[in-house]
Amino acid sequence: MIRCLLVQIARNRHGHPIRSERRIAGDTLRIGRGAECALHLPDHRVKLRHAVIRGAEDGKFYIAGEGTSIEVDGGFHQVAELRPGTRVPIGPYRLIVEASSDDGELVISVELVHPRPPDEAILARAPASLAAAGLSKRRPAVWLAALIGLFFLLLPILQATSPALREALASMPLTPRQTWNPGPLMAGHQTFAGQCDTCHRRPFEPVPDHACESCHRGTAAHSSASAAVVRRCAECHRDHKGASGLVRGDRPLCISCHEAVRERDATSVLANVDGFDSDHPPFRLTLKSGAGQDRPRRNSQSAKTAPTENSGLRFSHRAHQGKLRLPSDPRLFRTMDCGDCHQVDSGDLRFRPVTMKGHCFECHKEAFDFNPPLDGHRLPHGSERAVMDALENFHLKKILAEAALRGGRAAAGGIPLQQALDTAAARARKAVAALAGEMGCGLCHETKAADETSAVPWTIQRVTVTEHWLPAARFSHEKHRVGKCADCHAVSHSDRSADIAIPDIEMCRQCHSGERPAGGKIASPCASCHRFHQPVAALPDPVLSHRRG
Amino acid sequence: MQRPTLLGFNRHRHLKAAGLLVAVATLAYALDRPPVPSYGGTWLGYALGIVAALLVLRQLWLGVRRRHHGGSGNLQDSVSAHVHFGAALVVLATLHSGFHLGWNVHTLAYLLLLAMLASGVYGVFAYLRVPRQMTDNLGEEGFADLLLKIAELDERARAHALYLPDELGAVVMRAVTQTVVGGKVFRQMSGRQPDCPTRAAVRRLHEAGDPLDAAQSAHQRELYSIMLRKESLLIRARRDVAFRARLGFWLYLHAPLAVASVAALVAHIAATLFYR
Repeated sequence: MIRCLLVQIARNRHGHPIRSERRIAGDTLRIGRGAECALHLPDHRVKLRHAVIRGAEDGKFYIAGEGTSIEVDGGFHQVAELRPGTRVPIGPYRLIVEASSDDGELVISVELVHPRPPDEAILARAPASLAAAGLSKRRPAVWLAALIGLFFLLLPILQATSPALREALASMPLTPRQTWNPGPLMAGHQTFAGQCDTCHRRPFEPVPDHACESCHRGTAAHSSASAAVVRRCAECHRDHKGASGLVRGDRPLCISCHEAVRERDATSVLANVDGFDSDHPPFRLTLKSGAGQDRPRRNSQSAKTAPTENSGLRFSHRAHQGKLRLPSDPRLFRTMDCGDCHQVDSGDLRFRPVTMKGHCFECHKEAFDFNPPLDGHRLPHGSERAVMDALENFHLKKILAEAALRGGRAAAGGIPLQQALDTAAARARKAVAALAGEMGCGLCHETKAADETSAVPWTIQRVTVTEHWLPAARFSHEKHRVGKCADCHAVSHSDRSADIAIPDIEMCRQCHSGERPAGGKIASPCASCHRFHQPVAALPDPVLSHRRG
Repeated sequence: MQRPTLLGFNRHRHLKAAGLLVAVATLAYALDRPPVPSYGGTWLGYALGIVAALLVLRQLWLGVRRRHHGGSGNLQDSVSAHVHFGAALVVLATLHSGFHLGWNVHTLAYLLLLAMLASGVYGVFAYLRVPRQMTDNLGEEGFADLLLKIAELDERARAHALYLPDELGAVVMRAVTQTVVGGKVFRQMSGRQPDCPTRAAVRRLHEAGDPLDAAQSAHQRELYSIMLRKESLLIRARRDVAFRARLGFWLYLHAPLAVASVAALVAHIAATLFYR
């Protein structure tokens, strides 16, 4: 039986010990936090059954760990004797064996030397709000603003104002200043894409016209009056709108002046226009019309004026289409269509001139035969004088040949030369008179009688074929290949060369509307046909071809 | 009658005003026939841009007011205006752009504006939805009440755990000392603690087979009930943290994006004025 005086030491707030005593007894004294332990130490740092004190026969006391060694006086032991002064730390407690009284009672003082710290609050273990978890509004805001300000504001401005920085950055694939570029430049301007200053000459000032004109020299103004309306190139020519560029060609650009054009420009000879599909005047064809005009003029294509072409040629379109008998050999046939004579030019915009040699001669060569035909010899396609010379030559040869035949019987030397010449001239004059009719030059040419003194009794009217009827207009035949020629050019019943087969505005209006697509028609703003930088007074020259031969 | 909500404040006064603004802008855009395809440089483009920039400043005013005056005055009114004019701003900015986008500072400003709007839209959703969920979760109690109850249960658990075998006691003590509410941002948002010691303690206490005496069994049963109650409290507390995180998270995007957006807007305006 062990009897034990247990002295529990607490400390007051000055640190002085307060002792309270109680007695425990048992065969063994169990130490632990378990309820059954005689020396009950209620703390989780103590094992349920930590150690046990046993008494020996000799009256000594021993302490042993339960299932493990135990720390006694700084060393670990399976069993250790408890002598006065022995210190046994158990968890936060310290047990000290005090001097036992004489009656063999064990005296142990117990003191809690490491009291449990107060429980850490659950919120102290982890942040429970986003701000506590380290999120910040200010930090990313400042960073983002600083980065944006640096890369998209400061560096571009520095690059724009400092040539040294510009040079240093030149090799970069994307310079800070390019982040200001609102869109791709048109293809022609992309060669200086990185050099904003080419066009933007001074900061905060609009692109000046002289920046444009430093490359685009000699661009014609529209008219003196238009300068007041369109003040800057950039009002119509907007860049940074993609590789195809952007040229203003909208209705207000033209109509704002042309709806009352003479109020803007008193010298104008143009009619007021409010739109292509409303009151656009009839086209004005540039040609020498009728018999009265001696030089080309612009002739309104209205029903009232109905211009006719005075080309000096006689030609029937009707006679030159479909299956035709060849004039050279009536037994042969040839099928003709528009493309046999009208061949597009290399730009696919208009047509190459129709020429006698290139187009007519192939079928009409018999018209140049002498009567009777002489192999290897033909009348030339040239001036009346050249024709006359060829005829005289032909008849002279014929007379000389006849004289040579007769020479066998007549005196040597034949006929006198002067006589032969006179005879040839007389025959030629007789023959050329016949050529004026439809069997000769008159088949294609307008002829008229010449004065008495002339060697040739008639003259051929000067040929004036209109090559470009609307020289100020933009028109591409290529874009109109969707239809047949006859859809626009009504020539199937034309017997006269005076007939004009250029379609009038009503024909265009069947497919084209004004600025906006209306009724399933193609939207056609003014600029589809008209040029801006083309002074109306200066029509392209020559617009006609004067040809002989 | 239903209580007026954030969006329907003051009989939809701001909704009507913003709607009118959007309608006028859209109509003008639809009717406008600029000489070149619509973009920020036409007259309408400039007008839309100026109105949109003024709206941005107006929108910023809410943030400035809340920061410096703590939301004095009629906050509900100004938030309602903020939401509706914010939505209108995006329409105006889009029309201002003429739907032209590219790799440049102009599009950056636009995209930042859109990102700001997206975070704001989330914010509106959060404000309409989350507070009700928070009330459903907490009931009459507050977050602090839950924590107090948890601390109380911990104290009791600690006393009971003294009498259990070491291994079992250690499990309970881990639950007492290492259970966490909250954590890093994503942990807070998830509202869970995957390796929750309290959950582990509940499971361990539920397992039979420990050689316990009658008194220990009583302690164990008591602990099991304590830990169950603690777990349910923890779930609610963590859910509350998650709700508050969801309610607050968007503002950590919205505010920096707003500042970044203004910076990009300044660069955008500077660029258009510098190179005219």
